[in-house]
Amino acid sequence: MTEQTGRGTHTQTAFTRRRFLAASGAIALGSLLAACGGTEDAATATAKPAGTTATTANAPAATSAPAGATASTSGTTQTQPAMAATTGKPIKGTELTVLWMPPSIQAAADIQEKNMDEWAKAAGVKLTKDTVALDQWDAKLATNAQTKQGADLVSMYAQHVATNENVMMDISDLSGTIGTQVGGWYDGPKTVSIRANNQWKALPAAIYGQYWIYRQDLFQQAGVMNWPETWEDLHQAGKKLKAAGTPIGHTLGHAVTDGATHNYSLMWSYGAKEFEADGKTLALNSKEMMDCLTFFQQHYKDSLAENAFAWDETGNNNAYNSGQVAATNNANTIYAGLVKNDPGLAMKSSHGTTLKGPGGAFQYMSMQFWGIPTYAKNVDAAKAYLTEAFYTKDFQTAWTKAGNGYNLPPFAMLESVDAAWPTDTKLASARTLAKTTRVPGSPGPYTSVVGAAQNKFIIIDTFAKVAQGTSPKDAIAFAMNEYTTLLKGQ
Amino acid sequence: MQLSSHIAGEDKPQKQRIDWHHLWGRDATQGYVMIAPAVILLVVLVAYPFALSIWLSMTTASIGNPGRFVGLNNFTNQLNSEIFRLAFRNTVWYTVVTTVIKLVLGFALALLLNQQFIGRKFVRAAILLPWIVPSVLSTMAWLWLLDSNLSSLNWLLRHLHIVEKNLPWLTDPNWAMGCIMAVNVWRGTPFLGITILAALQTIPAELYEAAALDGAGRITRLWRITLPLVLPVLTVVMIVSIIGTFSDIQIVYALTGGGPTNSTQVLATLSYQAGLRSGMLGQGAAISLYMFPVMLLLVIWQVWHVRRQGK
Repeated sequence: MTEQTGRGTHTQTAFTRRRFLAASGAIALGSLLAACGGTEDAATATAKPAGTTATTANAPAATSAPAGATASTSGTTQTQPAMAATTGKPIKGTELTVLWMPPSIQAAADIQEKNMDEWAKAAGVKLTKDTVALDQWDAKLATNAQTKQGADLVSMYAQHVATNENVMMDISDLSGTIGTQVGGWYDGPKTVSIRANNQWKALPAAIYGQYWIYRQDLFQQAGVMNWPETWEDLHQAGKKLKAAGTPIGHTLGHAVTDGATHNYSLMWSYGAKEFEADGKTLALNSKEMMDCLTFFQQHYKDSLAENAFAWDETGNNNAYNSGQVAATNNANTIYAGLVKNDPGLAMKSSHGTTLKGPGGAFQYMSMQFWGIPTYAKNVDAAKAYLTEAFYTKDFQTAWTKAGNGYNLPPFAMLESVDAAWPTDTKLASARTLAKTTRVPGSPGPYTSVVGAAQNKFIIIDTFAKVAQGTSPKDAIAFAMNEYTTLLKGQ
Repeated sequence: MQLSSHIAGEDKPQKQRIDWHHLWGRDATQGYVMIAPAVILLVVLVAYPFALSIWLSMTTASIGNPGRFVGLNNFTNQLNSEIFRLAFRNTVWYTVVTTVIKLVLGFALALLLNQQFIGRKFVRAAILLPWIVPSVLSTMAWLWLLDSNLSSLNWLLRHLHIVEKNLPWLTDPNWAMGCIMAVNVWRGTPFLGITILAALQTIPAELYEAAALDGAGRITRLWRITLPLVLPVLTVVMIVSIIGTFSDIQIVYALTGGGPTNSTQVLATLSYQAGLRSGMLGQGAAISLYMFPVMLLLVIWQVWHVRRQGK
């Protein structure tokens, strides 16, 4: 067979390069079309969220819980939950994906995981637990929001609530019923949960208690017999401690939690604030902020560890555990770790009260929330889990007890429940600590600009700049400028 | 009725049949089909996200909120931010310094590896390790070495009595910038070294022998033979290195997170911070697009250079 081509005449053999290419092209095109028009099953399979860590598989037919309430080992009260308590719709046999933040205290993480598993088993729901590292949480939520795919129930910090409020469902109904169930929400977390148009976009799940942990032995050796009551007292004590080689640890690095814990708390204690109550008028250029930064410049020089500019979330933990600093402010993870791994140092350590400044005594604490995204596929099961398992008195008592002062309830229900609280006297303040927490943006709302400023570390950098020698006036100008840039970008 | 409809049918122009077999047999058709997957991939994975980022940069889009069109406001707004200006300056400084050092060290490394010595193959393979190990993993190892509290490097230096006090590797702004540059150079030099080595091996030995017979010394041979002949490869790897370093996020993010006080903040980390961490997609896109003109110029230069070499 002879074929005319543009390049001349040639005899076509059984399998030419042209035929090979043509056939390859046809196969590739066919494959592409097949892939694009894949089966429904395939499409569903790819729609499942990535990063799944564990799945609780249940046989729906064998999950009918006995009538009446039974308390499980994880404190979950199982109450025949095959129907969603909030909507009355059947949830048995459905799938629920939860993006959760395991608490840093392992016992609390274990009991929360068990709570989810037991509820899922009783409800006949196939529950998939998903989690990622904390510093990837924003990216995970943002990606889910943009692709409109992801977990049905998500854990969030306050910043995440602010940045994701547009993709969170209004769960005001749930806040009312559960709010009554838990004896009323505390004001701090409530400020974050209530968003535009007075809608509840998240439910407070936990407040992470922040404590001043200090070395009693080193304080006493320096002639300081009691924990200071005010920031100025700490400054004076810190002078002696720094001279002895063990200064105070104050995070000045880009650490979302610890950086805010130290610097926002000090700012509020001097009466300084980011915004006025309207949440729009900048209030950083104030006498209070000037006084605060002037104090801090001297405080850093006289009393603070000088390597704190690079501290991440573990920086002050490591500094305290290795005996480099005499005191720092942290969640009880330092103390809990010492009790387990270095009981001798735990014995020498104690917890101090929140320090007072000219404007009062305030403590920043990280908070965790639950939210149901608008892209959730199983809203009923998500609501049912929260109502029937997470916010039950039994679970909350067991969970708070397991956290031993780490995860504190953001509501009043457990205030009088002795069984929930640490028996260690060094953690006695845990019982009242959560009520005193303050939220960035105070006295105004926790707006998206407040959240973005927190993520950009503007307040932390303002203090760090002063510590590096920038004048308080210039540091305030820097902060004002950065907040203005954020406001203009709205 | 049948007749009339038949006649009416004849009046209609005859429908031209498409000769699919002929069409498929044409070079152009097969060419388009062959190139289609690549074009589809480019459109879906490059062109669409790029166009979307341009659109986003001109809006107030945030997570779950398409925002409103604000023109170039996000770009001009960033110019007022001290952090942005610092990040831009840091990005340029970080790129220029590390690229120059990597080129010099890479060239020196290639010259060394081009010599005959025992275990040459092993050394050539081992030298690539920093480049092969995932950036985040190796940077975490560096973080352990340079940690502000428990730096093992500081421990070693103190115990060898080289220093008395801990060095502020990641604590001092200048030291921190030096550290991220050092890690970048450590990671990038092997790639340049091996690539330049490949170019060195294409130079005929006869050229060196002839030059030596004519009395050319080592330095002269290096300047007159080696450098001119590896220059095309050197240019290409330099451009690739600049592009990679200019948009580098991993080393800075894992080692310093942009701190202390934004002294190591670069455009890539700032864009991530604004766009993904703070949910301000418009601002994040605008920050990242500030890198685009620089990248574009480099790519144009690269394409021009490659074409000139091809002639």
